[in-house]
Amino acid sequence: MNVKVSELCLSYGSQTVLKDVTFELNRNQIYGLLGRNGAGKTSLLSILASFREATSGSLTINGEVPFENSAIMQQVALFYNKDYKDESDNVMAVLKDMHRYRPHFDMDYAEYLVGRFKLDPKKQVKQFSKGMQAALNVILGLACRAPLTIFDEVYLGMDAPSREIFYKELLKDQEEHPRMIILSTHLVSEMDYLFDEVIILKKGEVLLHEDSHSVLSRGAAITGNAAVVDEFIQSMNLIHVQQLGDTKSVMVYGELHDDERRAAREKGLDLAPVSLQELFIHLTEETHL
Amino acid sequence: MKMPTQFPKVVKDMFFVQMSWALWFLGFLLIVNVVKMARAFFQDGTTDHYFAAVFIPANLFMVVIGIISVFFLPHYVSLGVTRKVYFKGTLIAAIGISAVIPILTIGIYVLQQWIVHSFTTFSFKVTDLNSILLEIDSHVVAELVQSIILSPYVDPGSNGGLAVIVFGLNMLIYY
Repeated sequence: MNVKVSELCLSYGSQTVLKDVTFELNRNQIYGLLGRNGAGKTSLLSILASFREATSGSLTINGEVPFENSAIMQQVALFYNKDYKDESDNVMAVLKDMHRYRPHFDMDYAEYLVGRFKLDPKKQVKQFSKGMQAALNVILGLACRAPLTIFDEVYLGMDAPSREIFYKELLKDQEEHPRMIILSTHLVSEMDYLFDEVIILKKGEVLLHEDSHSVLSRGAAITGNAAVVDEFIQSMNLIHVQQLGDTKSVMVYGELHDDERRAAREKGLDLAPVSLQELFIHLTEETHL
Repeated sequence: MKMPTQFPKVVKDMFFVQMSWALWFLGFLLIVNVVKMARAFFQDGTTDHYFAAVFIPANLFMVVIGIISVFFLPHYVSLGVTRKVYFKGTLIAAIGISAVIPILTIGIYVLQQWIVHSFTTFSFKVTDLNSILLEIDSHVVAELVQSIILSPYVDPGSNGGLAVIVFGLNMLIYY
């Protein structure tokens, strides 16, 4: 499965939502798509799933344009925070419907997940609570085994234990049946260990696209005496500053070589890694005037 | 263009869903017709037979389900069905519905005629919607509207096959 996005632009009337987005995904791994509210994540994912068309630029999946392409559209599945308030079918009927149209759907796995999330299979979906409806969406997403599966904040409303079940099942299924998965989320601190690669969108543009390991190795929090810290970070990319009296803590983003780390420690500075959530918050921060 | 494997599934699904609505609709109309018959019987009047009674409501039914069927599109797109396949499939299903409803209606009509003529001396009003048109003098707008609403009607007594075909075509256009 290969997804190639090239200079994709999307505008809703006069409002530009995606600007020259370019990236390529070509491994069967879990991609995390992060961005602030309104950054363009859902719009981008809708274009990938052929729910809408871009205003300019190109998208090819496995070398073909996916829009109205029956072979490709069957391989791509988008699951989002869907409100089932009018869905009078019961859980089994919904599963059967998806089984009918999605070529890789695994009914046994779906039934196992229904039991795992403790949903009543005979109950009408509109009678479920919001969290249980989200669980149903998660089940559909996991069981459909589409070669490109996209989860756009599908867990909204689910309680923490259910979310943990989702992450566990996701990792387990990915190991046994690897596919390309894109997870769009705001719960970065909770889900950061799931991502193999991270894409961060800021105001409709791609800010960052790296594998998780590289991203995390580039962030560092340096704490110590204010003057010493200031001298040390002279040429570095500063993304956050905190000061309490004489002690200053800064967050930098950039390569820190071993000799630089040694130098920092010799000067009495404290070096700590930065979590993905911290990096995300400060890299996407708006500068206040 | 080669139609992918989901096409027959869409046709079948749309057909069965709309057919189930149609059966409810026809059943309800049958009850109404029977009640009207009973009332006319006890009051010595006449009423339309089933075929005539279904004719115009069926047009309305097709308009309504045609509008409703638009709302099925996002469901199918999220299942990976292309919009082209969905529209083509729904069209075939609509043709199917327009064919099946007149046939069912004729069947019930025949049954109704047989039952009524075997057991009673009840006579149905011979409806001729075409004659109503002649009564209206030449107001262009009125005639235009009439020609859309009052569809060509062929009494099944005179020519059963033609009645079915005209009914079916008429319904399809409304959809």
